[in-house]
Amino acid sequence: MENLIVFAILMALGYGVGSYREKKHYEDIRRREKQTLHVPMMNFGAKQPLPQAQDSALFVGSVVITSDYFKNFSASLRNLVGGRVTVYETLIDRGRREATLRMKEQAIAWGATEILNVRLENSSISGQNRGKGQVAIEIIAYGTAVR
Amino acid sequence: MDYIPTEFDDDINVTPVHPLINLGYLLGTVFVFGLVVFGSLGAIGAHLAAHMGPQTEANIGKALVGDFLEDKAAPADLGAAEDTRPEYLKKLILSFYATGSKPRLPLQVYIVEDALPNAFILPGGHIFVTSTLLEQAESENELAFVLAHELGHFEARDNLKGLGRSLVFITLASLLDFGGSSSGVINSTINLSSMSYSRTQEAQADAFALRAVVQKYGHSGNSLDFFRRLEQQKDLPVPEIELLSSHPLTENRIESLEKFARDRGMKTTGPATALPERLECPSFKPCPN
Repeated sequence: MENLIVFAILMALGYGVGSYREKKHYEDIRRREKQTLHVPMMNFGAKQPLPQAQDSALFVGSVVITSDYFKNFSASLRNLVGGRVTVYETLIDRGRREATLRMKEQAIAWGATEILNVRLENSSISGQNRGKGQVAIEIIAYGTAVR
Repeated sequence: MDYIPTEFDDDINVTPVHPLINLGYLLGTVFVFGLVVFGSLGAIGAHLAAHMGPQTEANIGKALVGDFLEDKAAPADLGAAEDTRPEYLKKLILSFYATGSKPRLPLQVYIVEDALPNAFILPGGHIFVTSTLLEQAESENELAFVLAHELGHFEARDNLKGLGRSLVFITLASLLDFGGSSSGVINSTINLSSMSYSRTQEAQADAFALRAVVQKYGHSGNSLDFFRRLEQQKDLPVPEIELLSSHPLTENRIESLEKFARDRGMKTTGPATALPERLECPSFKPCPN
């Protein structure tokens, strides 16, 4: 019974705090995306001519993001039956957009007019806790800014 | 080419489902699946208990008994080869069968050292009698009643039914013959000492026993003395007496058995048949100490 109470508290904490923070984060992301929308990000192949530019520099934005108890529990149930882990989709989505924004904001501060060949990488840093259902990932966005 | 900033659809990578609905769906799935498994295990277990072949039952019994003997006592204490008492008890039990009929499995009797008067039967026809029961028995009639009661459970397959859902796993283990690990499977699935029968099963076993002793001795006199004495021993912690714990209260039990006998016109009094001498000592020889 005590275990159940602890479980209920953790679930409520995970859901309450987790979804509040997620909502706030999304609001923040949307606002900043609008602010940085004027600088394009594009990809160029090896044989395509690059845009005219004076300067170029590499910018890296990275973010570490972790899930909450509620998401972990939902995902572990999902592991039993298979299918889309929808609770983690928002997590990864936030991570990608936040990392890209950090990279882009640095580049804009530097004076970038365009950002070329943006790449995204991620790695799990759950480490020893992986088996215990704790999920933490790092997402890195990097690209070459020109001005 | 000019760059025209356009806002993009930001929900494309997120499935539009509320997390709580998602969780509810997942919990529901797991719960329904669990119910189905639980229900079908129960149904399969009940079917197995009712229709199991003697060979399978004997195999399960072997595994269970091996397991039981391991944590109960050294094999030397248990119906050791030189002890002739189990043979006597077995003859007593077999005398309940009408001539020409015999139990579906060869029965086996063990005597275990225990401070409580008790008798129980494991699947496979393994009957256990505690040394204290033999010490306290005052007539053959009352010992016969206790043994016949256990035999009633055997004939009604109550001991198999009592295993319930775990019977499915035990049967699988014994069919697939996990060898040494089969007792591990059994250990993890059931607790033998917690095996209990329903009140209906107990009442039916009692009725079986009463019929058996009346058929054997011609009357039911002295057969219930064992329970009468237990009832008088108020200081005994009743729930600890396994023979009683899952049973109707001793008083009710005696009453309903007496009523059962009266209703069927059975003779309720008669001379007690004496027990063989020194039943409490191995092979009926004088006890070593």
